[in-house]
Amino acid sequence: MEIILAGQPNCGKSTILNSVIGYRSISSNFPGASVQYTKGEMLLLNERVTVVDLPGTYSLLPRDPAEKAAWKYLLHASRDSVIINVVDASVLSRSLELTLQLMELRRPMVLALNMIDEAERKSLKFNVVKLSRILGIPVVLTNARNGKGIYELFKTAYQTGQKEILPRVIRGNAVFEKRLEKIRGWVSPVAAETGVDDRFMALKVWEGDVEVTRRLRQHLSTAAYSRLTRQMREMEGPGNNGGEQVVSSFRHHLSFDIFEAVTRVGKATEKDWRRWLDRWLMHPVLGYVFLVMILALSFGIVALFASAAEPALNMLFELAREQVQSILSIRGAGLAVFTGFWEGFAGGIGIAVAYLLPFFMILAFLEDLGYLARISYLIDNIMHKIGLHGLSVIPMILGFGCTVPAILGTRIIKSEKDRLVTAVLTTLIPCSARMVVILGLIGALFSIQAALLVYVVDLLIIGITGRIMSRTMKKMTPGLVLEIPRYHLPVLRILVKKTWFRMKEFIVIAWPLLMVGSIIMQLITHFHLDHLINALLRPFTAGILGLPAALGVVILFGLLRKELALILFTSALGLASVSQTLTVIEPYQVYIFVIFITFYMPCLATIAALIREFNLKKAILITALTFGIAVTLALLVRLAALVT
Amino acid sequence: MRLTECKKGAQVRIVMVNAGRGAVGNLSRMGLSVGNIVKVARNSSFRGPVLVVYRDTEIAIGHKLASKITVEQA
Repeated sequence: MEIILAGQPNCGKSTILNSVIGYRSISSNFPGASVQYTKGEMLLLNERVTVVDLPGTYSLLPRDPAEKAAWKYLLHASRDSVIINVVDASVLSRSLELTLQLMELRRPMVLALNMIDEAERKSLKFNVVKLSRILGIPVVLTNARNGKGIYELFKTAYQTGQKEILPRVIRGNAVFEKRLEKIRGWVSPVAAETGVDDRFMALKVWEGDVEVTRRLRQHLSTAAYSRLTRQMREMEGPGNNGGEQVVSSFRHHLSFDIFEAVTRVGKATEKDWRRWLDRWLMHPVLGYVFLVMILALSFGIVALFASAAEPALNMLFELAREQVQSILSIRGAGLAVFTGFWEGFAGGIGIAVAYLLPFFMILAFLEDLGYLARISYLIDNIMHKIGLHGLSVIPMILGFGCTVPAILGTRIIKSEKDRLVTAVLTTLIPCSARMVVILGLIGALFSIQAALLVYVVDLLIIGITGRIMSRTMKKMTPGLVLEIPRYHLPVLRILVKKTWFRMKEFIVIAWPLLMVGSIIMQLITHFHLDHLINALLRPFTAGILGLPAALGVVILFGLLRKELALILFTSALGLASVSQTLTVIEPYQVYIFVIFITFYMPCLATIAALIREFNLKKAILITALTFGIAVTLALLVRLAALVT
Repeated sequence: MRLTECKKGAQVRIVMVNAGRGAVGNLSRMGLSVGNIVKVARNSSFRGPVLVVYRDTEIAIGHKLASKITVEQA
């Protein structure tokens, strides 16, 4: 048996899945964040059942890839599947619109009235028996956050599937039903043939559902189909907005009537802290002050955590390396391979534990709290200036941690054009590895203000690039339409899962590349190929960038691991520590180096992520673009240094 | 009048959405389709999104898109 979880975004569906299966799914408070559906298995009444968590959908008339995926899954689901429709009880009237659409499928179904605690706080009381009678399906009260009612829910779903209890057919008024009956006459032979309910098919065809209409056309002659469409058009009459409007308003009114019939609204007893919070956090002026403060605090915590964790980890790995090396007693090229592997291994853990862990943890906290959607709201008009809208800010913030999960995070953006532009801009965001270089060189040699200046320049470049890109790409961006979820207190267990899920993307894509890259680097040094590379790159390094030729190999290696550029920088110049830098090169050369390293190319892992999310051609184009930006900026700094 | 011209707290009915197919779809799946009544929760910041409440759910609509939505006092 298969149990399908379906519901609107933010209804707590994924939390329910998380509480019954292991570390394989992710729950989210951000619309559309769980784009791919998740499968898991559980043991229920001594039988193994598959549980599928579909992406959240507002309606079954799909508008984006995630909704389309969910819809297709439901349409093609196996005969013995049961639907659990998870509903946020505190917004029942809105949620019932999807429930009605799911019921039209005429499959065994259970309604989970979730977040019942939220509804109680709003003083909503439900007549569950009546609701169950109206819909003709079992209704279970649940609270996914503390697990209340979850076992009962799955048990009921199992039994409903066994007994094949189908939802009731709820009819509209006489005029509506008469019209629907006409369409039904046309489609019922096809419905019988393809094994779907004929009323369902009629409704979907009337609504103009692409998938169902396509199926109908395959079975209906062209003449018959065109007569059907003509009849549907005649039925609409003047002043009507087509079948979609008729059907959706039928469900709209029905859901409201059902809501009224089963709900008693009492007086809200508790003072709502959420409204109070929004008064400050979404204030037209102070909202931005809080935004800057919250972001500064977040990055501050990450920096603090990293400054404590990184040296400790380095020490630990150094000790371990000495041990392992003495046991293995290898030398020559073998040692180079071992050293490279070890450095890549340790470096990966260093980034993951010291930077990504705190960063993603804080981000998951803000996301589950509901604050990320509010950032989108606040930033929307600024993002419009660079041709995007508020939603794009989410992957871009992820990019300050690691570009790889950020590129994968662009999936939440519906328009393909916006997604590409966002990905390009995300590669320009200084990730934690680049932060190491900027702070380690500019911050240490000059001042923190100077390091901040590099960040400001970076953001400016992102703004300009975004503006140019969106101007040159003609396709219009449909504006922001985003649910601002209610604030939820995040649950630690889910934060951990979500953080793990994002770190996994780094571990799977970036980590192996780090190790391979480090091994190549060690081999190059071992066979003294670095001089050759420096000589080959000399026209570029010295000629164009105006840097010492010895940095050529550093620039090349920076492609593999940007944060290594800092360590390699000192050793390539033959220095004992960063503080001696200015004895061999000019300050402006330090700026050129840092700016070039920051921009010149996404790291290898990012390129891999770009290929995976887009394609090879786009990945190459993006790389070429960032390289162009880096050279231009380096030349500008050089020019400025010459003038002054 | 346009949605962007509404004051905070106003109850309005959507009369017309003069936008592209994609945008109309994005709006209607959140329940923001012609004939439905929404409450304006926030409309103050500098050309920022308009925040409306529809059946207890807050929805942000980008300024430009909101200016294409015609509403009347409900």
